[in-house]
Amino acid sequence: MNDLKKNLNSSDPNIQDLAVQQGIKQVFDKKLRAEWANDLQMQYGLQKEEPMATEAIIEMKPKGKVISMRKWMAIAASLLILVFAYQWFMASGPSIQEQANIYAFADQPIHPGAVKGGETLSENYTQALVAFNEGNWKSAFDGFKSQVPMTAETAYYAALSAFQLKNYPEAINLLTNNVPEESVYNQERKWYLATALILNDQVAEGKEILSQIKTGEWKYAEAQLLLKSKD
Amino acid sequence: MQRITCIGLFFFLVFLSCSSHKLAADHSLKSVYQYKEDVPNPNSDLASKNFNLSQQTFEELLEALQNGDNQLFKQAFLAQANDVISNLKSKYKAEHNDAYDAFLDTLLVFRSRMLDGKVSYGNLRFLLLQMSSQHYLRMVGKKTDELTETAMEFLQDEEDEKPYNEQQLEALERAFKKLNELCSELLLLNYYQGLKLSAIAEKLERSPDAVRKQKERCKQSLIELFNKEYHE
Repeated sequence: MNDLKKNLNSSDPNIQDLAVQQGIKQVFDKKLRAEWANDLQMQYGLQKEEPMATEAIIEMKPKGKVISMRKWMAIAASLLILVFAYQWFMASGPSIQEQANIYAFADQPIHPGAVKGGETLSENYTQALVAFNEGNWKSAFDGFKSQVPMTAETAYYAALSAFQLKNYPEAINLLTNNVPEESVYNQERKWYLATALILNDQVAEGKEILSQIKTGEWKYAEAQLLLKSKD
Repeated sequence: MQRITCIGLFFFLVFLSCSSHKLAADHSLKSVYQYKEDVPNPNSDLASKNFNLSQQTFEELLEALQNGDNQLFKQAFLAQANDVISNLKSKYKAEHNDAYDAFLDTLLVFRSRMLDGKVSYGNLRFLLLQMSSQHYLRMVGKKTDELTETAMEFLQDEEDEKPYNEQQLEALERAFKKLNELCSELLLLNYYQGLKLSAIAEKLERSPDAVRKQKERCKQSLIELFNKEYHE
């Protein structure tokens, strides 16, 4: 095992520098690993299995004593309680709106920086784009909304800005009326429209859109999990 | 009779618990994330070797990573968990928890190597599987000669870095939290994100020389704070 204290206080600047680097890396790797483990559990249902109690392992060995009827009953009862507790826990989990809120704001949307179709960016559009990527949603919204003519792309980014401002009625309006289903944004449109509707207390309409997200489409897993959440 | 009923009940409950987990996992894993409009044809050979990432998306992912944004990396690589874990289980009869640990540890090394510029677009899936195999085998103390040179290089890199003990790392974490905002950003960008001082200078809109001096001051502050936090 390395001695961090010794290395950090070394008179050799190279050793000291390496110690700072490795120390910081190990601290932040640990945090990142915990974050990923949490995401694996939340998004993919993957987690470590709980180790079985040593006593139970010993008793289950074929060479050991025959487990008494009472112990079998106790195991079955414990499992039954666990299953009911699991079901209860799932039922008392976050509501569809809480869950939608978590999913919708988990990642900050980013504009890739190029207009589909390779058109030249106007100064006004560029300012809106920069504001969008900086999370300056009000400026981004005003900038995209003022584009003439309003294309599916500008409407989509205006809607996303409105969404980030929690102006769900405006986001719903733009996504419904200005981003056509046949546009290249259709998969994103469905996800944001559904979550905006849910967060705007139009849960039934939101779920209807969620059910239209097909296997393999963007946010399919999240859509399925939302559909399973309680209203 | 009573005993048979109880055994039956036991296996039924175990089956019930397992199947509910599997269902949840299946639903999530079916959702192969999709990236913007530049997603290559998933049926194409190159795409399938690179988690359906186009080269452009890979470059964007790398750039984001270098700027401290782990989201794209996380999105692309966590989706490979089942593939990697299943591979370790079927190839080496790995226990679930060992395969799970090997996957997460490998991902950390993969991220680090990407930042070092040692991972390039080509066959990311093969590399990830190789690295996870090598990591798993090392973890359980087995040796193999079936790994590629690249995977062995990664192994060597990983072996060079010895872990510090928990108490020391906790003290360092506490010390890091006490740094001012500029210092924590600067040290993180340089030591964890692997950004060169010239790039940091540009990002922070300062001269490279000022950033170099600032980094030294921040490093010394961190060491002083660590010495106050850590008591043997």
